[in-house]
Amino acid sequence: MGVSTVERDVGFARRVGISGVGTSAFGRFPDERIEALGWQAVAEALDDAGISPGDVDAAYVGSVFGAPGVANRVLAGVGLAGIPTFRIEAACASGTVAFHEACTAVGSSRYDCVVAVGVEQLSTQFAGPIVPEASDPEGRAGLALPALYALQANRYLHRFGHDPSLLAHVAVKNKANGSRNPRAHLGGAPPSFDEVLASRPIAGPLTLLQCCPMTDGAAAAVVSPFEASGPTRAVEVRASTFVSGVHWGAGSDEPWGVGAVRAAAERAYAMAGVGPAEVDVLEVHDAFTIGEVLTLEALGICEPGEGIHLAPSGHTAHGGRQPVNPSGGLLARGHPLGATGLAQTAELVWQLRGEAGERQVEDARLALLETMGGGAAGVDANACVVALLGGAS
Amino acid sequence: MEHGPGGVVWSSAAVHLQVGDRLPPFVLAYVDLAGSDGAAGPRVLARVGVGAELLPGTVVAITGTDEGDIVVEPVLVSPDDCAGTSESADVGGGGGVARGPGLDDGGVDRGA
Repeated sequence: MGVSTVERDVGFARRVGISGVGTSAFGRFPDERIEALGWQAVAEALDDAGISPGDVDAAYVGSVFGAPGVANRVLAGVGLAGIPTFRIEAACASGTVAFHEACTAVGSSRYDCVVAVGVEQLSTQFAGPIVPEASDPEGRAGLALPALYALQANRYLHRFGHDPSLLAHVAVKNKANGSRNPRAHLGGAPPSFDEVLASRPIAGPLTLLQCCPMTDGAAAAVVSPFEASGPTRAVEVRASTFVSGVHWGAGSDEPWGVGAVRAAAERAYAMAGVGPAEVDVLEVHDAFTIGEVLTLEALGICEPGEGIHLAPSGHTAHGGRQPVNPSGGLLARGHPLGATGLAQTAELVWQLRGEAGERQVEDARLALLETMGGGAAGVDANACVVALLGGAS
Repeated sequence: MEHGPGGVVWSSAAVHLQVGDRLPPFVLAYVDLAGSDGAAGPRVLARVGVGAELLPGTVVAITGTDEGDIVVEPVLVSPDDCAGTSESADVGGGGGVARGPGLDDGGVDRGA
């Protein structure tokens, strides 16, 4: 078994900042052009940064199912034609990898002002859940993503002897958070614990309300040198690390994905010179309730086997010691695959600036962003990015 | 590398969604196949033929294929008969036990 390998160029030669963010609304918009979702996000991010399209040097665009050329069409529609443009596909982490690459490009002085964009429109691609990729051996065998996470859940619950119903607390928490987010896909009244458990079974212990919705949307961030990005409002990218998955199979007792998240997190903490206990607020990949539990353990927020208690104890609730997914997370804000990472980024920037309204986490100074994309037979993840963001102090 | 014809369940899950042509419910399992000479064999994704979730550690045998998918079913054997897998020392409560649709097992098998 290998250990997830972090790419070598994770250090920044100069301080990197986020000077603007923006998103579309999140939901099902089958009658919209996918480009229009992207235009809303990029226009808001440029306006938030106080810059014009002519100030942008390059763009990185994450999208999983967007048609060929979607990156250039999004950018051209907001006056960003003619700049170097890079399209990235890394499953659920596509937008976060785009963000990471933007940070790396600015941190290495390749560019001075970069826009990272994520855009996705699932409502026009699938009538139901995402159909697994038939050219992938496990996809061909019917391993849809809810089933993959259900396998992780059943292994985890068996290993630690936990009651499966505890997973429902994650859905209750994140849907309550989403009810405070006007941009969320599922922003209505949050379900009760019993309603989550009574919803339709999907796979293993996961019921419908423990699974993220199929969401359309876009999000964007403007990345530039920290000193040049208006430090009174700018957020500093104190670390950003990116790993690809390694072989996962017999001999790997950990659930799929955990090793990749841990590898990215350990390097991010080292790069920023902080530990997990110092993080004030997190946006993590909760496509399914078990995903948040396993991710928080991999991030070192708690010991293995204890992650399932973080939501019911209130530790990760709004007002708790370390609030997780104040936006509502993928379970409520929604999961527009390629846009998710930048939607998480936008939420954390608003939190660090104190601009999150009734979702605001008190005294949020250090934020953690994590997205893990999966779904490739034989490896423990497709890609994972962990970033640490710091507010103005 | 030689392996099989059986192994040990790493995890399994009943799927209640239609996935492509596969109609629900069906049960998938990661199975650590027994390797030769005591070595661990590969972990494969298999269809569980009995249509019920199997506890991690359940000893299974490959009983055939279905449209290219490996099909496994539980067997009542001593864990020692399946040496060389990562689960061979961890089958205590689950070896050979299939979880049927009517079992109240704390919610692990919902509505299969």
